[in-house]
Amino acid sequence: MIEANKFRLGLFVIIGSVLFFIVLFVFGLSDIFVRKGKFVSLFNESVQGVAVGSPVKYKGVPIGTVSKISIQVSDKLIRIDMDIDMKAFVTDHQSGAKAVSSFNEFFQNESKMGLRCRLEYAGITGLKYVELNYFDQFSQSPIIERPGYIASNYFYVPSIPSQFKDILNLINTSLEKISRVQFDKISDEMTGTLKSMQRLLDDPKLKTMIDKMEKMSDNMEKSSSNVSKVLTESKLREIVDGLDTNLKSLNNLTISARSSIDGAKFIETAQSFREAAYSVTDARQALLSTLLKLDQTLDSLTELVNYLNDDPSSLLKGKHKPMIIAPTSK
Amino acid sequence: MSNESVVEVKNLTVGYGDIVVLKNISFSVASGEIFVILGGSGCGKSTLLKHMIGLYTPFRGDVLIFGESMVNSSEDEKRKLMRSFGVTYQGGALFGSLTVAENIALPLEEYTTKTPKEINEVVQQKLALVNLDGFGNYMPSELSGGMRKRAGLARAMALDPTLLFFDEPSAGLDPITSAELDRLILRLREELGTTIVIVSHELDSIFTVADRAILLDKETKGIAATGKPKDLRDGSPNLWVREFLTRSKLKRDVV
Amino acid sequence: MGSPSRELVERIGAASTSVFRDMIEMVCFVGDLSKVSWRVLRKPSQLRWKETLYYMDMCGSQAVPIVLMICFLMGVILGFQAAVQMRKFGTELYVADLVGFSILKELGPLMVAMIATGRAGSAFAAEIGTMKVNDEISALETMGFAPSRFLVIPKILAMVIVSPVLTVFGDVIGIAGGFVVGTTMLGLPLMAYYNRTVEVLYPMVFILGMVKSVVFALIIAVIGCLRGFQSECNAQGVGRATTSAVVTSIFLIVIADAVLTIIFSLMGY
Repeated sequence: MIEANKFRLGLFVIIGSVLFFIVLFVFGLSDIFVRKGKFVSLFNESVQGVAVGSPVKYKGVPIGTVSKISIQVSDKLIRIDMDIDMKAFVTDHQSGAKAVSSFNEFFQNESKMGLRCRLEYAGITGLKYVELNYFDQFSQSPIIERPGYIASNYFYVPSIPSQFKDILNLINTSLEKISRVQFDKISDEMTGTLKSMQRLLDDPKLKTMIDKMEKMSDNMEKSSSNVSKVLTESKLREIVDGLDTNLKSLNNLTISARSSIDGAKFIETAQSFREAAYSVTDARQALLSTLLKLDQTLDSLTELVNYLNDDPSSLLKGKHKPMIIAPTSK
Repeated sequence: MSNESVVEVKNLTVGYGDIVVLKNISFSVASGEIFVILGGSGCGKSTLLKHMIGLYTPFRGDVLIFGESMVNSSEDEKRKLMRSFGVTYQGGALFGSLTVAENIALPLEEYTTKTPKEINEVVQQKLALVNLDGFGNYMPSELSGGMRKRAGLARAMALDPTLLFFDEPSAGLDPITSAELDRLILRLREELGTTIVIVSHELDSIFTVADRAILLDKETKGIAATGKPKDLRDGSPNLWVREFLTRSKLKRDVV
Repeated sequence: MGSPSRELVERIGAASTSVFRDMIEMVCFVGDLSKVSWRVLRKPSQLRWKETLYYMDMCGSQAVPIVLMICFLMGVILGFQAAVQMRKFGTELYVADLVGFSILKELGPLMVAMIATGRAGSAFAAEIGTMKVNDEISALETMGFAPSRFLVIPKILAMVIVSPVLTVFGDVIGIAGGFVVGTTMLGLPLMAYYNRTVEVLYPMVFILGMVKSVVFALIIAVIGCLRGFQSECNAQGVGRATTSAVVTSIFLIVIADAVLTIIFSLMGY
């Protein structure tokens, strides 16, 4: 017999309809009941990545969605209409006309203070969203003034160019530049440089030079202790002068070495290094002569000391000789 | 019983696809007459019936029911015309999804302004007429073949038509049930003066009920003979007609 | 011309004639139906409410368990497959998008249509085919009824009403299936998945899914009934009619789905 199970059918229809409305509501029909503010902005750059439904954020807070993207034929600008959910703004007035007016007031103030909108990347996928914020660093760049064709119930937000007009472009040029670098040549040169460096370091002359330098410094230490015992002003000055010149020439040496190294041409650098080494050798010779002089100074100092030992009073009476200052010993 | 013709078939040519089954058939059925269409298997008698009741459209010719054309009328006129007669099909053709009573009540619900109570009365009356009292709440599948046929008859008569078509009323019934059905047909004519057109090859019932018969010939695709079955059997000039009416009788006798 | 190639050409010719004839019959049937529907629309008392409710129960409430199960599993499968791929990119949360959109836009209506084809479309064809074998169709006609008013309109109406409702069930449970995968297998936070789903889906997607399901319901009911009426008057004929109803329905549903998807995408959804 044809007879519907009316209870089951009724249950089916009721549950189905209830579910239908719940789903509609959950998926955003509730938006219809939400008061919306209408924003509009004009862009003279590509809006690639923005679509109807893309989020609009105020300092990162989602406050609405893009509702329409169109092209203004008159000035070839891209017009983006946005629906702003007033619920995102908590005011003292939760609803009614007062809430709307306070919302309008808020944005009018914000606009005066330089509120701008800019397209920003939402992630690596290339999708963009509209960010409302103060972009001080760009405030000097000219903005598009509010044109006449925008209806008065729209709130106009001037746009500023996005940080990267196109991030892909940037990456492309970077990649191109990188690809132009000749890595194999660089590595060849590096290898050659390393080899010549090695050769240079293996040079036995360098080793002996360092040894000699060491000895030299030992001698100098001894000398200086002697000097500290007995030192005449003039001799000292002489010594200091000599040392000074030596140091200066050492300094010059270093500078020329450094400039050679800075020259980046390592093969030539090695050459100049060698030259520098030669000049170090020269310096050694200069040092040797200095040492000789020091020796002589030492001798005369010893003489002086002996003389003083023999006749200490001469310190007071003086000998018909230049004055001797002995600051460290009597 | 008047002599005006209730059904008139004029130069009817029928068939399926490209095959012509019957050619240039013409006859008429008078009011109150019990008219039998005879013929061997496959001679096209069921086809002829289906054309007469408007289920099929003929190649040529016309069928007039109560003087109105079945072929040249619009669909709405045809439907209206169809309501004026009842048809009983071989298997009863009851709607399997409805009870017997609901089957009979269906045309009443659709075409009359009767209240459910009045409809129920009519249904009970029709059930009584075909000796099916108390079977109103049965589903057609719960009935025997003969009962289904009678229930179909009850449904065909629901709107009290003055013209009834029967498609093989006795086919598949035992002799006793078949005889009962014959008596029922005769009673209908007696009591209600209904004109009845029967398609059959059951000679027993034909001799019992038929006022007039036509015999269809498969070979000539036309009517081989017209007349009272007994007269045809005894005095037809056509040997084939006599043979048809007797040989099959002989066969039955042998069995 | 060689005989095998001639035979092939003849066969192609015969096939195209039969397809063409079938299409013409379909158009005639739809035309006839719209005439009857218009009449019923103007005089709703002519509608067979009892039958309509019966078919609503049969094609609707009785189909809920199977719809729930299949759509839930569909959501699970979809979520699982999406999860496997998206995990590679660390974008698991997008499973919510994929499951949500696929279920609402395609799989919800499509799965419900497939189930309805199997349950209702075949039943319609078998029922009408059997009625034809039993002369019930002829009886209806000679009783002066338009068979389509009795047999087709209630079925179409019932299907058109219940199919969107079933789709709602399928959509909700399908998204729930994705939800289960997202929260258990991917370990996404419950609220994150929910919020993502609510964020990306919008009502129009859902509504257009409903529109699709209505179109599919029409196809299923009309084809089921048409094949029933075209059935040959024997048991094998009824069987063939049933098979043909299912095959034709699925074929036309897929075509309709493609056409609707194109139309909707042209509309911007």
